[in-house]
Amino acid sequence: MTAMGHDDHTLPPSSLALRIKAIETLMVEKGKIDPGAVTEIVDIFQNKLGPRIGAKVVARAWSDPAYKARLLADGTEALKELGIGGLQGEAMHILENTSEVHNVIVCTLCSCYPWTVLGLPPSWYKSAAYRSRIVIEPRAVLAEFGLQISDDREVRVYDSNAEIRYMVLPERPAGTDGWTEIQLEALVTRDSMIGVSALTAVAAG
Amino acid sequence: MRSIADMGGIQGFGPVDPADDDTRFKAEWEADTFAVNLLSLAAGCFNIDESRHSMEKIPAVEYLTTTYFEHWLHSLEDLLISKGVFSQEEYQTRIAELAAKGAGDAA
Amino acid sequence: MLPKDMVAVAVATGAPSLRPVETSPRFQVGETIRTINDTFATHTRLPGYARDKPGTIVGYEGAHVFADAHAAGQGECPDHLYCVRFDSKSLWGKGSDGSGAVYLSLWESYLLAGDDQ
Repeated sequence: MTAMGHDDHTLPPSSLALRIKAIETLMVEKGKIDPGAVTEIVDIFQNKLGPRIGAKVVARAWSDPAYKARLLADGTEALKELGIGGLQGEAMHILENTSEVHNVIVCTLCSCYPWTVLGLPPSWYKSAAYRSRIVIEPRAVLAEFGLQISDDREVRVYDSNAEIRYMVLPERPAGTDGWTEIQLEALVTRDSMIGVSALTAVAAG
Repeated sequence: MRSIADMGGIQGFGPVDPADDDTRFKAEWEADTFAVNLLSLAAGCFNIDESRHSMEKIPAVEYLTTTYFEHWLHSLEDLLISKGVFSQEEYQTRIAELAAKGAGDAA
Repeated sequence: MLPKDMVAVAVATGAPSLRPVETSPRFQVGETIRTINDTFATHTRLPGYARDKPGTIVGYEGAHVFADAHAAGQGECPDHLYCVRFDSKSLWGKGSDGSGAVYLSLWESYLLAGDDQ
């Protein structure tokens, strides 16, 4: 990983680097941390987990009505069927967007996020602006993402305040009849599974 | 507690910037802070709820003017020292040793 | 200490907070509740915006480690956790920006029967 760091920190990056290096070396000496485990964790969260996992789940749900029914009834168990589970995804609910209801997720208290299906959150998800405003003016915030929600549609904001994690099942775009799961998977964006964007219809042909 | 971290419904933070879209660690210290936190939890040095409480106790002005992973670093220092995993003296000594060796400059 | 070769397993296993308890949940899906209005100096997962508000129980999540107690060094103290719906108008009055609701996971000790208010 390359050093970056002169951008938005109130302390010089070297101080932050010194502080965590001091903690890490003390923890290794005291037998609390295996130094090899540090790089292993970083590798998992930077390179193995991420929204392509959630996209597979969405494509499966769109393709297999019985799986979709199980996913909506018990997200945790249905995800296990695909080998998905673990840290910050121990108890999962999948929220289905429809023509009547639009779902969106947040964690107003910190930045809880469904790591097992989406990986680590984007910076804006952790921002004060998003955390404070999505619960009180979701339509205005979604408009900032370019998503207009009509007045006759209900917006449901799921605040991940306890240990339950959520993922949005976006509406399947028109024009995708007969598509394979692999084709569908490629359409699904991270933001559509957070609930801040919708997937647009695909042109025929 | 009704701390600044409990920010749902507060007005005045301005628009969300969807272009602020990084999911990757911006620097090695962020990655290390993330990993050391998970490994300290796994080692039973503190629990996740103590960690969240430690972050919400950061003074409001400091909370809003420091970055996400600085909050994590703050809670690591707070909990590992307050629970006696290492002492404040050991910690400051180690920082000084590393600084003398120039260890922070690389990151 | 978590050894390097156990990291992947630990991440894939996670740390579930669901616990067995002897008691039965006090509330049923469909019941109306009101949240408590206590100001704690300690950790709580009842957000300030949802204090002293009317809501509806829409789901039961089982009993989970009670974060408020766990953060205070009092042990896990598992308690019943519910999915509770708050209509936007109840939370924000005329400040709500359209038809909507906020959903929270709330422990039983945050909840009063709808009639208790």
